[in-house]
Amino acid sequence: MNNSSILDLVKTNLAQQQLWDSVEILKLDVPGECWVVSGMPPHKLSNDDKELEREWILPVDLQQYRSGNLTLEIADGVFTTLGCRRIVLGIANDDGTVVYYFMYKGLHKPKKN
Amino acid sequence: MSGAKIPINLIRGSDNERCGGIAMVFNIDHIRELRNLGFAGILAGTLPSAAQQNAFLSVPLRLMAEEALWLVENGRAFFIAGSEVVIAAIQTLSLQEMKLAERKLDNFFAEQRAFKQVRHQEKLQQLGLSSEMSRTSESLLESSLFVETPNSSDLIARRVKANQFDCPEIQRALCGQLRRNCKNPGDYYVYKALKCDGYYLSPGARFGGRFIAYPGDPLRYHSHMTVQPALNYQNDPLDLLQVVSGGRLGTGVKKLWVVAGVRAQVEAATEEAVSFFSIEWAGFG
Amino acid sequence: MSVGVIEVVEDSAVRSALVDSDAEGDELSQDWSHIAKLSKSQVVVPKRGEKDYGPDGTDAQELLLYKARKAMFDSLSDAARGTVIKNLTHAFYVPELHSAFVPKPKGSFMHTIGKVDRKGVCWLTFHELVYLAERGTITPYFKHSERQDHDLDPSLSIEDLYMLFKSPQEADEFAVYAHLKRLGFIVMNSQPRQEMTHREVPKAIPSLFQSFRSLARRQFDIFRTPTYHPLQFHLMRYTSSGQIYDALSKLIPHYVAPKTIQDLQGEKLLTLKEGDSSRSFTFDVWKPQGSFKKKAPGWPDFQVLVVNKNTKDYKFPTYSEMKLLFKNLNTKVDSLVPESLSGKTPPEKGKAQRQSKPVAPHVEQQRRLKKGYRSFILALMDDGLISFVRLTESDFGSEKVWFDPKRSPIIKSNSRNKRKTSSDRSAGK
Repeated sequence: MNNSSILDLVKTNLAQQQLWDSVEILKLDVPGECWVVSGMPPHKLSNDDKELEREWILPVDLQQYRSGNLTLEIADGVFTTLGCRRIVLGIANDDGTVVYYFMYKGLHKPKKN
Repeated sequence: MSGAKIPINLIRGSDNERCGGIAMVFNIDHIRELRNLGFAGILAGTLPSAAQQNAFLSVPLRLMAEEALWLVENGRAFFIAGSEVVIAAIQTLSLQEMKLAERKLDNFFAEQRAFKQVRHQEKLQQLGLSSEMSRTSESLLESSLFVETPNSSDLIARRVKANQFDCPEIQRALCGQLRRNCKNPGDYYVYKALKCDGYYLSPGARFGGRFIAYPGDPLRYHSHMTVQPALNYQNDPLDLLQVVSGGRLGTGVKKLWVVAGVRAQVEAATEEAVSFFSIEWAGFG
Repeated sequence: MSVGVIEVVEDSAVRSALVDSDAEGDELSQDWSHIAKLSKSQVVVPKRGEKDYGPDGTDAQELLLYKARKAMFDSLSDAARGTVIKNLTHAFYVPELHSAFVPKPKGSFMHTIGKVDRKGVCWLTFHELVYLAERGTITPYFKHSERQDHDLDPSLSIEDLYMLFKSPQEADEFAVYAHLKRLGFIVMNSQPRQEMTHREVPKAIPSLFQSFRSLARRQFDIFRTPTYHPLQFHLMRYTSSGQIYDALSKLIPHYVAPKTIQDLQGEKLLTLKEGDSSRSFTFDVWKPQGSFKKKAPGWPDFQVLVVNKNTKDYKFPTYSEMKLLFKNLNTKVDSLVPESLSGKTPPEKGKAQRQSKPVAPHVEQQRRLKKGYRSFILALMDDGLISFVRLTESDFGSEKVWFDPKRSPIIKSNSRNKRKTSSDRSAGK
């Protein structure tokens, strides 16, 4: 999976619009040009989180008529490489907006409230 | 709970091996047993005491193909298939058996009569009237006797007893036919993995998924997840447009949007061959 | 009836055969519960209780679950299916015809169910038979072909009836049929397409001229294709924004939905053979009404297509299939066409014509865009749960959303102001 073309878009969005700190880009040691963005959110992202943690964002490109190339095997590879319990999908639209979704490995329970 | 296998009917007409069939259960005791085993199913028949509503229905109980397959493969149930079972049962019906059915009905009436007479007498005694039965009340009683249309069939039960439906070859063939007719064969592996984790599952189109997963009996617990149709772990890309729409919908109804990947090369896929990922809106962006 | 109950009946049969007449005292100590339920008249549907997040292993939760299950199964076993002898109506299933006849029909179901043949015999379709048997309205029997009398025809259970469905598809269609019937709708099998067109011909002939006109209009559109030529913009002089919008709109070809009876009839005549459609409507549905006549039902309010989403051969209707379905649609015209456009059709009798306040044109336009025109219902079967989806033909191409030169300046400025304020509001959010 090659996501290098939208790295800057997601990085800028995180730093400038979502006001994250110490946002940086790094290349993952998995097959293909797979990059992630990491950074510190300004506040806890979920009430269930114990403390403010460094988050990992996987930028992916949303196209209207073409399915992307993020398979579950690749997602699994990202989890294994980063060794984290969740990643954040940074889904970039063709109009420059980015939306964010948590992705947990395995079955995760919804928030209680 | 009895140890006997539960009969599951496959509704499919005669000689319809191509189309698998709809799995249904007609006996209330069997439905209760299934519930205790973690199978809720969907009640699909009119409730005679409230025939003008759809919120609470009655027998038959409809099962998903995946549920029926699990039950038969795990030795909890067996299939009865095809309308020829009924036709054959009726064609081989002996005069003696007909007479027996008639006598059974007569006995049922006799019981009702006795019950109603006791009730009637009780009422008369309460009112301090003589306890003699008048002619009109007798004819009134006769016309008030109840004729029941039973849920489950004596005809089929007799046929099943005589014909040994529950033999491995027949059951394996029926399972194969049912599996081949599923839209997405990978879903069965996903079902098995979730069942193994103790989830109750129900059909999920209402929330845009293949299954809805409940942590316990849906009567008492909210569902936790909308499970998507199974993906091929190596080859199928995650549909991001679905992630966006499904993730938002899921977050709105407090359910996680779950995708499962089934590994392709595993022929006899086990639970470990399925990988789950849970997705929800991050709350920003 | 459960197996347990059958055993009890047999048991008591043996006993009463032994004790015979002097059984009275003995009977009193017997368990009456399965008989007593027959005289229960109260409707018991368990209430939907509160739900918890998940099992926490406490006894309190266990007790609540036990109670909920008990309430549910009590409701199931207390509801006896059938009828008292006074109201008993027999129906005999004829396997060769896959339908049933009712020798002595009685009851209000006759109003909307059943068909009387030339010999005066009332026939039920298989759906009708199963539905009425499930309610307990009729008692089903299996008709032996070789026997004239009914004495030896065995009675059928619900299980027998379901097993006699010809295919899973038929059973799915029954589920949708019964769902709609329980809600009070009048449901009939959709007529095959040919019969329907036959019904239509007499109506269509007077409007032949209309259809020629619409044909001519199409031709005219074709002559205008030079619009697409780049030269157009050199030759044409645009003196108002209206002209520009007009020319722009012509650059985008669009499908025009038929909006009046004349349009519809014209379209029927123009119908080209698009190959046999594998899809045709399953049911015609009428809203509950007292004045319904089986022989002259009139046009249905809805047409329903039943599909099962979990079978191997399931496909959501393609665009061309949908177009064909819309073309073959035979529902009431008033329900298809927004009121503002159906002005040509006389208002329905009995319905008081309420003079509502005139609505601003742009509001009306919004309504048209939202409501659309012709529509049909897709009943999606998902292992016992039915989702009803309405598919509607809409026509964005014919609406001038941005600029309408025909609008009078006053209304125009008015609507513009309104639009501005609404967009201001949404911007301020």
